[in-house]
Amino acid sequence: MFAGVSLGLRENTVERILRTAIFIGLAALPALWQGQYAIGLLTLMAVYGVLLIGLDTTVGYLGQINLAQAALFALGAYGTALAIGAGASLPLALAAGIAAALLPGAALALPALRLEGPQFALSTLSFATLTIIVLNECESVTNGALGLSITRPSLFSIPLNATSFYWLCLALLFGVWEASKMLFKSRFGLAIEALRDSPTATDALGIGTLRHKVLAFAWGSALAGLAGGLHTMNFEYLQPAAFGYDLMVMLLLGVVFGGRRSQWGAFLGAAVIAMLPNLLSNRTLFSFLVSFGCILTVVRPIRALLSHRVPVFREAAPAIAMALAVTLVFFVPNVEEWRKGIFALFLFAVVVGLPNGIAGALTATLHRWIRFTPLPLKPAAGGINSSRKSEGIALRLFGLCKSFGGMRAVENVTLEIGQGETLGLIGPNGSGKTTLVNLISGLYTPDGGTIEIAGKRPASGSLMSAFSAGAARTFQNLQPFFGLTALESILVCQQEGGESEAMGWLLAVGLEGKARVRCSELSYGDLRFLEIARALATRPRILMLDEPAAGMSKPDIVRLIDLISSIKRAGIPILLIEHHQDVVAELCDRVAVMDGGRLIALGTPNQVRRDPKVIEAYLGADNIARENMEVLPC
Amino acid sequence: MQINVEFLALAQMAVSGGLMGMAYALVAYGFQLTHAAGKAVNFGQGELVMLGAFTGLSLSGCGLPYWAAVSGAMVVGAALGWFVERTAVRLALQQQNEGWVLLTIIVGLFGVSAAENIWGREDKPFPVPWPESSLDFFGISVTWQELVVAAGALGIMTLIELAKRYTMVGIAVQAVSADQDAAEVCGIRSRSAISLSWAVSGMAAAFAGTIIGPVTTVGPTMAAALTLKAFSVAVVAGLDSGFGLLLVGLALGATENISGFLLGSGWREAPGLIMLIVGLALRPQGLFGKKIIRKV
Amino acid sequence: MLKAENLRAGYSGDDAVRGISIEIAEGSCVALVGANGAGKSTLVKALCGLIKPRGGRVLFGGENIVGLPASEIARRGISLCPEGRRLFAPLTVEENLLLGAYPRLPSFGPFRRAASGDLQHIFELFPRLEERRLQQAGSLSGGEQQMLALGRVLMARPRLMILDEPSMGLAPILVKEIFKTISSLRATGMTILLSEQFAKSALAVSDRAYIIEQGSVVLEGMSTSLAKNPAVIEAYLG
Repeated sequence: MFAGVSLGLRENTVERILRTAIFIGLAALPALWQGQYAIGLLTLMAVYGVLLIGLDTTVGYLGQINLAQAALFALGAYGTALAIGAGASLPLALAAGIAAALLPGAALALPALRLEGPQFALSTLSFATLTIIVLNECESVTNGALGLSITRPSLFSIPLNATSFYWLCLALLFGVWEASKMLFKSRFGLAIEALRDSPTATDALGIGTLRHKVLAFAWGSALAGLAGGLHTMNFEYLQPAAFGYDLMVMLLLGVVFGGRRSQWGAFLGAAVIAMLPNLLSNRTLFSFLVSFGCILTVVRPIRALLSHRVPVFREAAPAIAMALAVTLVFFVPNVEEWRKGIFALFLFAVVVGLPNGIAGALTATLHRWIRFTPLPLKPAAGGINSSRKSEGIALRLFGLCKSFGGMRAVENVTLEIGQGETLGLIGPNGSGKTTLVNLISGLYTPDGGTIEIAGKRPASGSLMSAFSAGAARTFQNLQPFFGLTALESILVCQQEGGESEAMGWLLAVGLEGKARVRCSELSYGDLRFLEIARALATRPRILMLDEPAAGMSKPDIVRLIDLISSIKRAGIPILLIEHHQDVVAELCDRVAVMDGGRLIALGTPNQVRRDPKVIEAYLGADNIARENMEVLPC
Repeated sequence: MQINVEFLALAQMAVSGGLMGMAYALVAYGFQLTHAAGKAVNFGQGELVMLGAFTGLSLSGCGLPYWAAVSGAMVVGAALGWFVERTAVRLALQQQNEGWVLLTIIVGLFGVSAAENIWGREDKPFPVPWPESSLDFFGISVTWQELVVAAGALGIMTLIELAKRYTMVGIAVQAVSADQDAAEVCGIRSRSAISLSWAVSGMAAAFAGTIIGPVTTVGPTMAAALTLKAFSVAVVAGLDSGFGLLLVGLALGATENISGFLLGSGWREAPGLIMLIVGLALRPQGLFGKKIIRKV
Repeated sequence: MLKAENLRAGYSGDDAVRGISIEIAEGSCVALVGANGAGKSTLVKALCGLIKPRGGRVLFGGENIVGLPASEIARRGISLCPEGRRLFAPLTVEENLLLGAYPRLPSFGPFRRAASGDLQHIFELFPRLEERRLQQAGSLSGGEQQMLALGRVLMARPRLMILDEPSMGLAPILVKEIFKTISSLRATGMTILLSEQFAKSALAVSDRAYIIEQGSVVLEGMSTSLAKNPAVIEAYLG
């Protein structure tokens, strides 16, 4: 396979060069493409760029459909307009716009971001509808449906004409772009990426799900406010009707069209939605664009047919939609009337055919042609021996109970794990072992009993609180951060220390060679080791491993036993759920056996193995077998 | 005496609002059906209501009797519901992303454009066979129209609910909602069951269009606000709550009418929306919904 | 009757089933024995079409069934009693049973009459279920739920019955009960594939067995001889 040309450049450098060139080009554009109309359009594109970068924080990075951005945009616009009316200077007016969007945005985010999926979309949609009602009805402030007129203030007593205002918007877009990019490359951005894949894991590892979500939403709202302010100054006239559902749908589609989770995507989307309505009014150009799009979409189904296979829905549907659009353009007399429908077909083709948008498709192509130089890795430091030494009782459970709809999953469990002790927890499937770990780590609220982690009593049913007390865990069903690399997965979990320390943890579990590999491409065994490294990186006072060897190959199990014994030597107390008897026998100081939610035995591995209750519950009852032998002919 | 008149006026508002609220409950019921079957809802459900109303209008314009026009609209609605599932929802759910929200919006957008071109942008009256007079219950007047909306909504929901419980297909659809894989190993084609839920949901939406069409008049934007309201009802009641949405639908319709009366018509929808945001924040699973247990 | 050749399957990441071949003769009871996470459940799910195998073939009655949807495989006569029972909790006991016979029943007509014979048969086998006929399946006790799950599979009149961890999460006395039922089913000539972590009981009720470790078959043979095999005793019968 063609591996691509190596330019000896980093991806980051190439991106920055490209972007700077485009901005210089855009800044020079008014010299070539003159007229009030053109400048207005270019300014609108820059404003939408800021707005969509903001929208992308929720729709892209948080992965939630946010239908409030148009309303926040409106609030920013009105805030700025009212500030200008009160005689504020330009920077002050923009600040007022940002505040006008940020405060309601944050107030919405706190309740709304506890929700997921359709519920979140709905609460933002309600907020948007409510905002438009308020803008329409509070006539004394907003002048209602008639709208507000303002005059653009000057910047530090320099009067701004259309072109210089365009340059201001462009400069702000560049700044916002850079700031967003840095934000989402930082630990904050990694956390956002991680919580989209597994909010349970981000809470259990102390990253803090809700806090990050609210901050991201607030950032998006602030950008909506800034964009609103610029929009007001661009048009010098405002009306509530302009910020309704239609604009919202347009913005959402702009982000998806351009490509989610990418500032480039937001920018391209902004260009498309700013220019498109105007392109659509030129019939020749429009017919050309639609035909061109149609040709692009038929490539994939034809390729499928050529390799003798029926094209799947994802390949065929965009072509059908575009073919329908072409039919409308060429055979319907009143094509202007159908503009909304053709736009819908266009979008349908893009959303189905290019799930990662234009930016996603372009990046993929670029990576196919050019091999970028990776960033160098820092040398490893720290590692297991730098772990916190534990003192006193690591974990104390007293009378812990939990039932699910009548089924008693954990019943009256009392247990202690001492300083530096490794306790094995075994029992047949469904005996309540994982539920016990879920209770200790705060995923479930116990029905009764107490939990004490390293002398502290965490608030019940709070992952974050259990984490603060010092609990860290791995998951039986892996909860990897698929969007992050191995190194980033550690970085995001570290409370202190940088890349060197993160490399130290990877080295400890033997993954130092895969630091830059995405979790989605790591093998199952590697992911199990990475989860242990993640938990260790939080410097726990008690480490809970939920079936770490499940599904591992023999050599991996040997590696795992080595790893756990070195964790043990470092003095970290461990609660180990495991089915592999050799792992339990070799590592555990004591073994606890659960059956039907109860603790039925506790002792050294040898004691437990001889306990008749354990033999009956765990290894299968002898007498059953004998009885059946009589029934069977053999 | 003055107080009594005030009270009577409010009661009048509440009753007629509540009766119309049954239409919200009916569209909300459509959301519940598809959410139960495949965890997705149609953000373009309002457009299906509108297309159903237009179809009904055209069919009765062709000289068909009212009931035949309504049945025809329901058939078209079912076909459209199926179409939305097939084109906009199935793929996105297989890829486990939120793309379906956008795709249902897009399909709805196309529906509006098509309606504008086929039937025109103007609002049209919907002729009905029942009298325009009203009945009087203890000083509160109820129009035949309001009664038809409430009875129709209740009737069709009851019918669908009965079909769900007392036919094998209905039980199979419930099984798919409860556990898709387990239903598959019983030989139930879960994809077909989900498509069927969408078709029934589309049918309910189209029916809703034909019964509220006479009230709102029929036009491409008649149902623009309806998606939000019905969705509010479904979510506040809980997306898995069965008949809880009747109560919430009644309450929302009554609240809207009363707040429109007391605060001015522009504020009609505000209390309902605030109720929704607060309600969701306090009880994400809905008033009547079951608590969700996170599994790892 | 069923023959899997070099089957590979898994979720994200590595294969959990790494090239397994098994064979089940008509009227026999075959056990899959192995520790938790050995790949038994993945294998069973791949056979039933709940996950798509990544390679290999599954022949059922001579036809390759790889790639068919699970509902289609069920309609051909392979009936799975899934791990963790997976009942339809909000539905009644009777509805759960009827759903087992779904492909055979009229979609809109009088389905209860069509299934009354089969229902009667199940109720004779598990009288407890008849007592709780109109109760929600989710409200049953663990043992009753397992009986219902078995009943649901029997309602399908399967040609091959696959039981995935039927003893999971049950008290020892109930485990005994379940194994009794399995051996009496076997006595009626039912073809059974049993996946089980209780090695002793599984070997006792089956004719042949496969010992599975880390996604591969490490030993296979007659159950009686496996039960005497020192390696098996060491690893599973402790």
